[in-house]
Amino acid sequence: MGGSESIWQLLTVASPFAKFVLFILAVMSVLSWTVILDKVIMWLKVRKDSKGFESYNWRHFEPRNLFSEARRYGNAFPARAYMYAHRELFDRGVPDDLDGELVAREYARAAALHLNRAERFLPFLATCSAAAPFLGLLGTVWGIISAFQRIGIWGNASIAVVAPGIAEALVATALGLFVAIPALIAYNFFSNWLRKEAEKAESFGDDLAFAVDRQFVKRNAVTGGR
Amino acid sequence: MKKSFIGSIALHALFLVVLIVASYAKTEIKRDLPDVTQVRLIRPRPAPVQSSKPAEEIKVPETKPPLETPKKEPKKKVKEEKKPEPPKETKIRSSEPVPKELKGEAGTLKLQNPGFDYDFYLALIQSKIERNFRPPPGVRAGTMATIGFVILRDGTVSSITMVQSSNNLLIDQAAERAVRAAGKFPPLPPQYEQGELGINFEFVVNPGSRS
Repeated sequence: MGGSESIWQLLTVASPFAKFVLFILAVMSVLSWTVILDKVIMWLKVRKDSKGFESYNWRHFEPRNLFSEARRYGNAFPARAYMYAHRELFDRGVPDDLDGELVAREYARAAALHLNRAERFLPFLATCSAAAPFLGLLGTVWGIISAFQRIGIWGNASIAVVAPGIAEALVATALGLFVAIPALIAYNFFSNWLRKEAEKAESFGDDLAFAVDRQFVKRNAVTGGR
Repeated sequence: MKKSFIGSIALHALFLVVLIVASYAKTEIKRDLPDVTQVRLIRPRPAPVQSSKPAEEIKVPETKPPLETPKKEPKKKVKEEKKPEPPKETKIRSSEPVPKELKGEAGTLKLQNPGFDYDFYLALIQSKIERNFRPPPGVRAGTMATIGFVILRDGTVSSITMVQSSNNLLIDQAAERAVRAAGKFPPLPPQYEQGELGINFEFVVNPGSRS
């Protein structure tokens, strides 16, 4: 690596195909890190708000009350979904046929939308983590083939002839792993986290439906709506 | 997303810069070390067969510069006794130019042309080639093969030819491989006027040689 054969020199003397593979890997690396950074920023925002919104006290449930709470913790998935459902249902006064099921359906639709948006580009990380090592391996195999061709042409198998080709070839595998490892870690982390968030959002929907039923349906029954 | 993309680009640029700086820093450290001249100690050979004169000792200052042993590196200790024999400063030229021979354990080194008086150089080549000669087992002792080659001024070996085959492919191959594996020799002594040195090396399979 050091000395006269720095990594930079290895890259500049590589064959066109090896350069192409390295270029693809570099692009994959940049894109996968874009996704990782994007998800990290989202994770930081959501985690903070999610904790705050979870501590909502259902005993004092009131649509407006919950809405203001949701606005305060606007980045949490349940909060955002509830804001959407609230606007759909309560903006023009409380509808007559309101019950838990209706609210839960509106809420679930919004929650699925937001979670889907949060999951966007996450499959790209999985693709990177799976494909980058293979791509690197392809570059390595290709480099080794050309190294052996060089041995054949020069009629000489000394280490001075073979080593540069092999070193150049191994750079591709190294780069592939460099791309794949962060992508794999990030994919596992974020997909697990989003699954947990989805479960939380679902349980919030159940709570919401229950609370709405208890408050409105009971009140309707008491006031003798029908 | 745009912000993340810029961040990602910045991260990669930073990584690249660190990589380049690190590789340059490494070479910088290498340059700081003092120059160390590697010295190969060679065993004195018995006197050449054909020359009637005693073995000449020629001092060549270039090959043995005074070693300023670096204090920082105790690992690279260079042994001080380079020649067990007291060096005779007399430089004797052979009166009649006869191609010289140097007999060793696994072969005899013959010069193709007369006029090369640097025995230490020949001894070095002899020992280097001998060390690389690994005849296959089970070959009749005394089988001989002669390989001719030329040492260029910078010590490179070129035009390796089979001068006399042993009629045994394995021996021929082993002999040729020995010359190839000996690889690059030190440059020819600067006092030697001609550009190259032709050598015939006669390999002999000894019963005692390692296989």
